[in-house]
Amino acid sequence: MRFRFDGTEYEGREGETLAAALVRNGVVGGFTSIYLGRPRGVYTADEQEPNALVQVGAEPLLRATLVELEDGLEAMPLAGKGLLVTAPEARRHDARYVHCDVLVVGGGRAGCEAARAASGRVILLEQGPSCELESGEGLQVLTRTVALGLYEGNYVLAAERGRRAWHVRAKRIVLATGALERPELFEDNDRPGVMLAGAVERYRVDGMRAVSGGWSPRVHLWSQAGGRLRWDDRIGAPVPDGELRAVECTGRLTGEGLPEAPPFRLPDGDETTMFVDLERDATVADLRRALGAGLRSVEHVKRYTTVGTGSDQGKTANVNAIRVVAELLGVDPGELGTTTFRPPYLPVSFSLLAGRNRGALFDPARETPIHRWHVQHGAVFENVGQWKRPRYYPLEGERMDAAVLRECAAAREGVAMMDASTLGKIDVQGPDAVTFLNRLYTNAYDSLAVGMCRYGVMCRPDGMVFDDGVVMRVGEERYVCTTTTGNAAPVLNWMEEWLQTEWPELRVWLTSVTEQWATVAVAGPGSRELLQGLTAIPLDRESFPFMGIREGEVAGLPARVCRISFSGELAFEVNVDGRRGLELWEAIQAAGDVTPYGTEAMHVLRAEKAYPIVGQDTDGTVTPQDLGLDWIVSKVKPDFMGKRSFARLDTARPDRKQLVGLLPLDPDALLPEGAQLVDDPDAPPPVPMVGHVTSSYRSAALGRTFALALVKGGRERIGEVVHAPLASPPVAAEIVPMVLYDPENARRDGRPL
Amino acid sequence: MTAALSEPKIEAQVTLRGGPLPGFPVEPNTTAELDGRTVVWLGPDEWLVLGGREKDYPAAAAAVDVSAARVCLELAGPGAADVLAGGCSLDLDASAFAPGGCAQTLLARAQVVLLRPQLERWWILVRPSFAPYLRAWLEDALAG
Amino acid sequence: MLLVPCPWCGERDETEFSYGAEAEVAYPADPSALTDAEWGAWVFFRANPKGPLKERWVHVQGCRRWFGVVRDTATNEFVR
Repeated sequence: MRFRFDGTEYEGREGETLAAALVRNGVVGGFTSIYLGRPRGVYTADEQEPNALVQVGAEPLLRATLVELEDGLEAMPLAGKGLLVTAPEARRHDARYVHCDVLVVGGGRAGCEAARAASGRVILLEQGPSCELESGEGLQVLTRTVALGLYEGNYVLAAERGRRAWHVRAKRIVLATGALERPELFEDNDRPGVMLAGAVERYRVDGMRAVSGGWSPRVHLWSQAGGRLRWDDRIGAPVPDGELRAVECTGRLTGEGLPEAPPFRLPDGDETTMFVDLERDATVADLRRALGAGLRSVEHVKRYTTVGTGSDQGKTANVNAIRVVAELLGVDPGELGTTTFRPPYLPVSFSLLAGRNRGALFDPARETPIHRWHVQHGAVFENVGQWKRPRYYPLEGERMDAAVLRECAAAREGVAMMDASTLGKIDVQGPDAVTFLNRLYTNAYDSLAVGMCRYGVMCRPDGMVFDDGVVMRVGEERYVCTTTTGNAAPVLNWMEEWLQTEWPELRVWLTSVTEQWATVAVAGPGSRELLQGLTAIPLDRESFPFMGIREGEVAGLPARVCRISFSGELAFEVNVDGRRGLELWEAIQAAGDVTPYGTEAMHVLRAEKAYPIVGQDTDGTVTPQDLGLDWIVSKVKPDFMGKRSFARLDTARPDRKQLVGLLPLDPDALLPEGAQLVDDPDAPPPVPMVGHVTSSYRSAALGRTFALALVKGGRERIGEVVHAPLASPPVAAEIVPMVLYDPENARRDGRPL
Repeated sequence: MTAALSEPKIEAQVTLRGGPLPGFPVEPNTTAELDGRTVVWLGPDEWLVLGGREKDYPAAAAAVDVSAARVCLELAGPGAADVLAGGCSLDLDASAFAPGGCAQTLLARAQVVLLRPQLERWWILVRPSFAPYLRAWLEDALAG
Repeated sequence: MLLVPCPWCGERDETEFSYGAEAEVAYPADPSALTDAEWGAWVFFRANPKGPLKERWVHVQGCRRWFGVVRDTATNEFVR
């Protein structure tokens, strides 16, 4: 086959590595060192190669000794640094999770012996292209597979051909990883023509200066597993020491069968050309200088000289560095210890680690049952956690600002509808259900009648708002609690935590029904009339009070209807079996002129009423009292989650940030959400910050911009002006009471039928 | 392709809480066939009955209709376990996950109830909102 | 990747669990009788020793049960 290296074409053979082919083709140099620009050539025949680094297509920093030739391969030499290519990854990477009784790492003589002797399910990993054992009954042999890391619980991550990540969970691990040859130290020991003796033999090449400073067992995985090391004087390198519960070592990894190391001495001569770390261009002179600077620990010397920090992770350098430092300090190498071994054993691409979790599969995009309709009708989506929610539905050529104003106007003057299916819903059942709810919410639920619902706030023990929602009593001992979209799982988990760990005596059971129900909110003065055309449930004011629940059929579908309003207008939330959600939506659409509205309009409408959104107007440091929700904090319940914290000094401070409204002095100026607020924008820095903007919108109903903000002692500062120093000039805004629209709640009951 | 993906419809599902009713599996992560329905162990006081309805279990401490709360993706064929092994860290070997067993776990990035009605037939119960993602993941794995 | 021993489901990858910190720190019987410092200690502080710690985990992607185990925080081994 043919391949190209640095623009020149060469002939290659089946099964050869790029390095072997270059050597056979007489390429002695061909590479350059990273900092000193010294000529370099292939040095080794294994993964510890420090010189022959290449870029192949999009892949940087490959060792030529590990690149298997393919016809048409194109490789460029790298002087220690690779190129990040911006073209999308074309090759496919994936993963496999496997379990076994015995994992053997290393398919040489000792590894194969261990695999044969093992019983149960056995997996053998061999980083080279071949192994004398083949897969069979109870044995899986993976060649071209390198173990990258050994983690807690005998978990090994391995890379097969750089394309498949194997996640192996083994009851027992046998390490048979052998040893790596290391260089000798002498002047100009890095020049092309110098090669490790073992590589000279493997390549069967003439004319090289073969060197060997000894052999270092590949102790990396043993060390990662927490195994200890001890210095073996005979071979001049660390070897595994002691025992681990489920990991053992065999073969040359233990030091057995390795030749005695040549006696170590620092040669005379120019130490600036005696290379310890070839990939980092670090020399004996650099080590001597580090010690001269007062450094003594191997970790410090490593950082000072960068020995061992290259993409080869010091495989030819680390042991020699220890020996040099020991020699210079006049101590035993064993006293110095080693640097910490961390995964990955070889460089690994992010593409491999990402596997199939990229592009459309990067993260689940959760969809409601009505999703298809939103897409077909041009909704622009926003991410709410993992959910895709329609943010607004622009008409042809309509920009977001205009769409949102139109949707808000429809909700306040006509009829609008929204997909509210993403809100969390939790079924709470049992004789102790109300006791349980009373403990977790700040308000009391004893007086909530069957067929009614009630807004509630939930705090953490520190008194900070955690979530809010509506609790529906749908039966004698049965409630359905709604949560904010993003908190569906956290609230259920929170409830289970208290129930299981603190209150196991309570007879109450919790079940997620978030996806059992699809929910459509129909809002606006015309909502009653429109919906009445779809149901026999009496929707008039007297039959169906605010916060009431009624069950029956809507559009021929069994439904539960609640008169809940997040907009402050007359509104009905219709809940049906999740599988019929789209049917319900389309039936309501067909019933009249109903404007679909998205999360943006929803945000504006509720903000005009100062209904807080958890996670928007709260951030884990805001109490119900800060939000102006004192009325929801029970004065009667002896204890509930968070109550004790309300009396803490910090929680009772008068200068706490409080939720207030802001009206920019320029009615067209839109404050950015998150903007910090100050009293005097011309004060010299550091300017004290008195609060921040939490929600900010253009209002159709008010005909101007407005915002909600948390301002220190805000409720005592009504009428004062604060400034948001963003661009020049700062935006000035007046502090106003937070409910800007219909503070008497006159709109809530709508028009009579 | 040694596995195929399909979507059997499960008409009704109910979650039952409290003590086990007669015949219910009490060993963790096992299932039982009762009156033509599959009862799936989800926890020491929680079972999912495929084909069951709330009104059928008056003796249960709590019963909740969850018929719309999970959909079923079926993966069948000799290569099915290998496809799952691309995104599930459980031991799927027959010795560890026998037919009739079940497990709640993660498949790719979705939480699922994994059932193995037969050696080479798996049922993946997943929340409908995650189904488009999981379908795409499975189709991608089958194509790979 | 820790292998966490769920008492119901057996050992599973840690990605199936959420961590619950020190175990057996009971909710105070009468919070109103505690000083701010005592209450704050219960709200904010949990033991964090180097060595064995009795702690809570919840199998949130599995059976959803909370359970207690002893883990050596220095070695990450679950003590049986």
